[in-house]
Amino acid sequence: MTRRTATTWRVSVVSLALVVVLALLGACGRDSTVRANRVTSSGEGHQATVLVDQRTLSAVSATFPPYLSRLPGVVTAGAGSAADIATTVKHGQRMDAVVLPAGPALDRVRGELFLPPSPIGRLGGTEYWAGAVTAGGLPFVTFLTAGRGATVLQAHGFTKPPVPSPMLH
Amino acid sequence: MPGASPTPSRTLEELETDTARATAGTTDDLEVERVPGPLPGPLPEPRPEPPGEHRPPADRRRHGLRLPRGLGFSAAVYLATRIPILIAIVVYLRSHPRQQLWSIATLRDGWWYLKLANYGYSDTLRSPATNLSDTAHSYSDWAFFPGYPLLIKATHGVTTLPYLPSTLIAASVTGLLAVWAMYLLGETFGGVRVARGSALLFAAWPGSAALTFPYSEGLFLAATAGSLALLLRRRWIAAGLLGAVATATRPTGLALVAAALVVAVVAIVRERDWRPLVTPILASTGATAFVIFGWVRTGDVMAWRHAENLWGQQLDFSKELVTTFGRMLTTLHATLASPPWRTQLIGTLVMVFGFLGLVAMAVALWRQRHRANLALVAYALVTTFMIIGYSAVAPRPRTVLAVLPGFVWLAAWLPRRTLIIASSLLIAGLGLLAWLWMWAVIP
Repeated sequence: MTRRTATTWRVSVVSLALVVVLALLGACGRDSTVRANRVTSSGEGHQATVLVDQRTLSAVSATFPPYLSRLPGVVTAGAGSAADIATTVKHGQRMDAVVLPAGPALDRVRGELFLPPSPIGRLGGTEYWAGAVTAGGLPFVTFLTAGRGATVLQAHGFTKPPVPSPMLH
Repeated sequence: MPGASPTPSRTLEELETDTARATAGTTDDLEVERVPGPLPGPLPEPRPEPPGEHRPPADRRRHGLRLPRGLGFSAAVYLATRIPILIAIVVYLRSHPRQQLWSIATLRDGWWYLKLANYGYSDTLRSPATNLSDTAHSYSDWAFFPGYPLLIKATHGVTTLPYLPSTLIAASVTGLLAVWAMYLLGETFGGVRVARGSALLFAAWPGSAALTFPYSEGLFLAATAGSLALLLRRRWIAAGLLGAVATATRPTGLALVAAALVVAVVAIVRERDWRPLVTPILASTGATAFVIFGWVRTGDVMAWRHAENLWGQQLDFSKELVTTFGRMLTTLHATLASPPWRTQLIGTLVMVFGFLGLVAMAVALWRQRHRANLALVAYALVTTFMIIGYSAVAPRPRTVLAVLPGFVWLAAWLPRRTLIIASSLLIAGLGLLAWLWMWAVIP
């Protein structure tokens, strides 16, 4: 093998290896499912990212303005199916709180929550729970379960939660 | 005698002296020196000499007094380069009397490694909260590989010291081993002169402050440099075993697997020799074991990758880094007026220095292309890609430290005087960077 052939051979092998590695790394670069892209802002300050079940989006979104009037800042929301939200939580996307129906999706993310979730009432016969993923999500969950947010949710079709929130104990 | 090959009939001291003499001159000498990368086997054992009144080195070795090859030089270099770091720590502690050495040691990654050594990994992706700050429960301990925490645990078990001093002992000892492994890698590539230059540049590089603080760099770089040196010497199993330690310590170890795989493929295709394949297989067992452990513990086979998402490690080819840097430069006046942004600007400028280091390594490789070794090139390319590909990793001096072959190429390329001047400047910068790090990171 001549020197030129050997060099070409080496360069080819290294390039091939690099392409494989790049493909592998690229494949696992970003794997989130539900993206938070609805921004509600009342200026600078507190920031929270919330992922909610698609069916609760309008009701939960209605709580953002009164929440931000108490705690100025930015709430960024995203909506999707319960399963997709659970996958997004498990895949490590940064978020602060989730609103999910009772069931397998909620059970899947239970271990990822900062504190046990709290019920926020029923909507269309389904029981929904709110959970803080980070400490930054706690004020919003508290607002939904015990603050004026609960009143807003009930005005948008939610029933009162069947049991007191464990966070109040 | 330039170009001389080691022969079994001469002692190692003679060989080292000859090689150093032959290569200590000008750059022209470098062009003459030809010590190829892969060696056919282990270096020859020195021939014992008759005991004399002053007990020659070979005799000292027989009596168990002789240090392994290059360890003495590496230890001297390592200790000398720790001086500016220690001075920086002392200066910082004197100007910040409320801080203690322990509070410096448990910052950032050190805190996580200490936590892992103490309590092990969480059952879930997000680590249990330890405070009520907005970022509590936002990060994951699964982003940290288990090699270094296991070493801390072993040090704690052996010395019976508390975990905190155990982390510092583990970091310091592995830091020394890393410099020594770098020496051996340089020696395998180009003889004693390159070995000494590599060890010196490596220990003086500003990122080597991480070899003193409780970071996993020491263990990882010691294992990686050792594995690469053994790979060049075609010691497949030993290279694979050290590679397994590397891949169990940091994700960058995957670059080592890639390099070993390239070597194996070439050997299979060209020589029909399947034995080199044992190296990538063995080397990948460290990372594989961690992935399986994470799967069993959390139920998520990609626990590590998902933990990296929480830490903001996304493949963006440094787009975010460049954008942020550009924004800081275009609003320089406002940036300098804001303390957090000022700190970030300093951090980014340090990264620019790291990037320049990468450029210098690339130039050195180009100038040394006639003796470029496939394994080293493959390892360096993949490592560099992992550094530049992720904004959260970035070419910090600490991450550039992982481009081990770059130091070898620089040592082989730079004239001796330039090497010494560059190392002296770097050593001075080492203390400054350690001080800046403490100033910028500690609240």
